[in-house]
Amino acid sequence: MQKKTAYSFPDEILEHVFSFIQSDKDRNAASVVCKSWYEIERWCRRKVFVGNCYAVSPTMVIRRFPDIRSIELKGKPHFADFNLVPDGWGGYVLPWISKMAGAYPWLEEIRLKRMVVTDESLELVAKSFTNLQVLVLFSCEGFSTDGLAAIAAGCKNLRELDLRDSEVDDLSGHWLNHFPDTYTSLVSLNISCLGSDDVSFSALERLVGRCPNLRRLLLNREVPLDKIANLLSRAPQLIEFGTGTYAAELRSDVYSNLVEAFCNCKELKSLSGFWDAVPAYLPVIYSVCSRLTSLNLSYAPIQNPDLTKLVSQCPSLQRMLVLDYIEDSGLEVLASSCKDLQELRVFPSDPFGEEPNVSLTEKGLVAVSSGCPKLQSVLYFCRQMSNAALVTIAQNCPNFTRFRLCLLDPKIADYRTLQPLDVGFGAIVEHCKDLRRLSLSGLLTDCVFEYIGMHAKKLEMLSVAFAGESDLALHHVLSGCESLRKLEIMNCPFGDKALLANAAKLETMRSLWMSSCSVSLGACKMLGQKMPRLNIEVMDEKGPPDSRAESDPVDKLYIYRSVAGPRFDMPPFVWTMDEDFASELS
Amino acid sequence: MGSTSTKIKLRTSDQKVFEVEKAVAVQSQTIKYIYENGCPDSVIHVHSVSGDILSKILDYCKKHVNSAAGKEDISPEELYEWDANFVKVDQNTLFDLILAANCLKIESLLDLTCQTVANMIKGKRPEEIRTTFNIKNDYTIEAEEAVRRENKWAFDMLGGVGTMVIEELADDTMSKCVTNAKSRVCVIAANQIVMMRSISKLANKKSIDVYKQPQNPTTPRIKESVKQINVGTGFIELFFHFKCKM
Repeated sequence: MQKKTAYSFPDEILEHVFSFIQSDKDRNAASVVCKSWYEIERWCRRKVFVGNCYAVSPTMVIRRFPDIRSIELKGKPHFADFNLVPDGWGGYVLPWISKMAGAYPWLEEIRLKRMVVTDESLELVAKSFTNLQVLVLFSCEGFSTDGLAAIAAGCKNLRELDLRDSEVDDLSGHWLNHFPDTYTSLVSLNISCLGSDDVSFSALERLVGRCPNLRRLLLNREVPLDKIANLLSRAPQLIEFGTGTYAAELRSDVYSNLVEAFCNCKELKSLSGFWDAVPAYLPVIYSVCSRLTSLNLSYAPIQNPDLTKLVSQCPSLQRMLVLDYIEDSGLEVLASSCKDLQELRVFPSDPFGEEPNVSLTEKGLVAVSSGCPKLQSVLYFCRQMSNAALVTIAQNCPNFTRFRLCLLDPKIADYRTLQPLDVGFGAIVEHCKDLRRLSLSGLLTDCVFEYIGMHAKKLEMLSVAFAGESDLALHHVLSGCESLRKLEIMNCPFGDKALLANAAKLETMRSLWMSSCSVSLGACKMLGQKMPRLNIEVMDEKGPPDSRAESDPVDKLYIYRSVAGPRFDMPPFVWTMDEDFASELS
Repeated sequence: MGSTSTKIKLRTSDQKVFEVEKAVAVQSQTIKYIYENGCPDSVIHVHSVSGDILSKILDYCKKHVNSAAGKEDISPEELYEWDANFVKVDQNTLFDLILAANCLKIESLLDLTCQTVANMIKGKRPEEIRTTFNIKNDYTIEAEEAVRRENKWAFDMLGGVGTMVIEELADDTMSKCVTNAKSRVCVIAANQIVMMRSISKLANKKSIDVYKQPQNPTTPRIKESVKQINVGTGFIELFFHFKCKM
């Protein structure tokens, strides 16, 4: 019997079918099926994710998707987190907001990461998007509390305001007062990044008190411990809470108020904050511990045995962020108590000290890998590692999706055999077939890159520093890692050959960052001519590239694919190596 | 004198006549309108629906009416299973059901059948979708390549789901989840954007059947296909995004 075709469906039915398809991947696939599907799909897509704000222009997005309600944009490359991207590089959101203001009056959600957001942008947001419900500014900068005041005053339907890790200029303290008294719809508020005097505490208390749906509240450091109990008592329905400073003189009234307040938060599952935490006040959260799925103590200088005691009371933990004060012994306790653990991050308490101040070694990670069968995501700072340990870890946890190891001495060898750590990381990529993100460190030769190219078929993001010996290493990665999308490299002896040989690969990736490597200016120009659809940005604060020889290595190189062509908002120290570059100079 | 169960007569495109209880027939808003605004005694013509299809549709309506009225002892989970089996038909029949549900304005059936078609699209590459639905590719090579390029270069997400969606939202949504440990069924309120970490906590399994509860409590629930995604934070997270009626 001949198959009927969905082609004959009226558009409204196809649109109804598409309303059950939400993932970008599926929608993208549907848009390629035929021209009419493309048309119907683009009119009913409501959510857009743009992984690199320079890969497409706002005009192009608006032209294709006329009715978007939710947008997510990412700006600067990841290494901006380590201050490797000079100020003024770009990532401005204003052009996007300006264009969207006219096109998307019903926009509900804006999520930005590593973008430059100005007060002007925020004012425009508040004015243009009356139905805005979600504003997330993750690692953004360029705005002040004046911009926040505009948002507070103008966005009557705001549910979520998250300023995670952003840099905010504190001008006046009272932006919270700009939320009108009639405003009650807050569900999530993250102001943990704000500096002193930014938050009017009484305004915060009133805001919390009148928002019955508030579920997530992450305070900033300046909120003192003795104010927490009062705040919590107004919001016993919280699921996630971040304290301010967690230090104060031990006072029995403050203590018992806190105990009661935490006790009444029956739904609390996630705690963070704990700046400068003192052990005396830790027990107040004991009533919550058995329910906790997420605990962030990365700002808490708590040491063992208090730290271990706390951890042992949290059997439901899935996500743990902690300083290396936990030591191997604490991690062993974690391994035996927290069988649901999925994510572990251990940060260094004294990264620049010459001698280790704590006893945190590879043994702790081995213990967790052995005791926690659901472990999937690791970020681990430590001072020593061995191939044997890495092999054991890999065998224990074949389900890793993210593995980031940061040895504080970047070129340190296996401390037992004095060999490079190639074999250890090789085991990680070989056993962990679903690995999507990997950060390498330690003494590493070209070998490890050969293993990565051979085994890491699902790897999407790779971060490398001070590793490898030659271009062959880079070639292994570029030619072998089929799923690679983001590659960031610093201080590695990689030059022109691998890059030019794998030029086509760069069009299959979102971006490549190379700094303090050996890529020559000449190679960048050649790449620019050969691959016109890539934006090849050379950054050099010392002066224009033409003042140096072709063979001189460039300081920083950022390459990304784009359908929008070269950008025109570059600062003086960024040059694009497009086809015209060579002729511009002559 | 009217009997306790009024009957309505329906005539299909192939001249078959069905006599059905009014409560069942008026699941169709179209029939309801015609019945209430026309002559109640005459036969209602459903021109665009064949006898076979109407028969199946009436089975559906009857099942759902009886279940809602308590006439049939069937649990919500069993009704979902019944719905799931109902749409296990060949593609032609499925499409006929969609067109009929659309024309007869039976919202829950339209949702059910459209969801089924959506499930046939998800996870497939464009070539596979074309084959499944026998659709001719009318793109030129250049045009198709341009769309593919824009999709991948501009709108491509690593890992499947963004990392900035709130990690654990409304616990009241969680409390609306009714879990039946035996059948691993979970019911979530409609129009909720829910991102639940560790749904393994609920069901301790990697896959779970999820049903969306529409806002009208008498409307039967729709089974939502579950996506299992490893998100950037490294969790196994099940991301449910239900259709928001705009």
